[in-house]
Amino acid sequence: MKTAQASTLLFAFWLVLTDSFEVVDLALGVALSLALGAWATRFLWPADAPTLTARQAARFLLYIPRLFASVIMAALQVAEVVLDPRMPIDPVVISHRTSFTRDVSRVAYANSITLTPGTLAVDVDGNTFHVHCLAERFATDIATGDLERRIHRVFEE
Amino acid sequence: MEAFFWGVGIFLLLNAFVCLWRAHAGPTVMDRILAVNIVGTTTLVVLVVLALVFGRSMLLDVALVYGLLNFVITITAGRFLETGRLSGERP
Amino acid sequence: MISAVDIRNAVTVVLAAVGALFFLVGTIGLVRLPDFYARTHAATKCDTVGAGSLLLALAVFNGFDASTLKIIALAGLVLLSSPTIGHALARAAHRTGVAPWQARKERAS
Repeated sequence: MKTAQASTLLFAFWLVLTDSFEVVDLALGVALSLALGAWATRFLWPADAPTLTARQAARFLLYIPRLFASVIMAALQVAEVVLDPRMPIDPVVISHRTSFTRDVSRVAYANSITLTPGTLAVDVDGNTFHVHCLAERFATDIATGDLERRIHRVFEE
Repeated sequence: MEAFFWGVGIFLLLNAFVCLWRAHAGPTVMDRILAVNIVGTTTLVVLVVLALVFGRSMLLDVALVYGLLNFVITITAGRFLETGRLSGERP
Repeated sequence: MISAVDIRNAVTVVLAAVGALFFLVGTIGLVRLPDFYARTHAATKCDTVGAGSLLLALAVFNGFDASTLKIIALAGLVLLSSPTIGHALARAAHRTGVAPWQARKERAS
């Protein structure tokens, strides 16, 4: 099942790359993506690789626009800090304990931290995240656990 | 439009040169790697601009490979500096 | 008379200008900010948005064909890779003992 998914993805990528519907190219693409898919599922993916239910996938898709919006907000925030002649930063490193049970939620959480304004995931230590904040006021979303709850809704239920 | 794209490309290249100053100045090795990675991202966008200006879609493939290599090189260099080795579990 | 081509060109110019501006901000941040972690903030965020916006502009300009799909794949690659790189380098720096710069220390000395 995983092999099929990986192979389909690889074949789509092949179509984008080659931009050709000749029989030879298609056949080569199918052969290569099947071989690579089988190899990747055996050797690259960990045993507990994320499998998402349909519900979780739908929630993930709904989460993406929010993520885009927050990425743009984050860039604007950093731009504001950088372009301010006084450069109002006062960096702190905070630690936040979470209660995630799956690696996929930890990955999503770390990436979301990095992409929200003024914060950067620095290190993960079990379930404790060390987060570098440009200033203490950026840390509220993480300290109150808002972001954690949002990720929880997507992957853990 | 072509003049505009030339302007964007030259602007991005100037940006990349300023980033190279950071790669020169450091002070830590991580700063240098980060600066080189930014130069790589800039180059990627410049390649796509050139592909459109010259009408050579081959440059898009170059940009794609460039982006993938840029990613792998940065991750590998960071990991090597962190653990002192390139494969296996971290000590 | 405003044609579809004019609208397309206008959208391209605006998106590309925004993208170039974000690149400029990222570069200024890379030069100005006081330590590695702060510079990572500027580099990962501004350059993600800059590259995304510029690539979107070029995709709009190109119209819809196979090249556009490649450009969108490139944008996805940048969007996925730059937070990963930021995180990987920040962790490496953290574990090799690069200390974060603090405003308070500066004031005290």
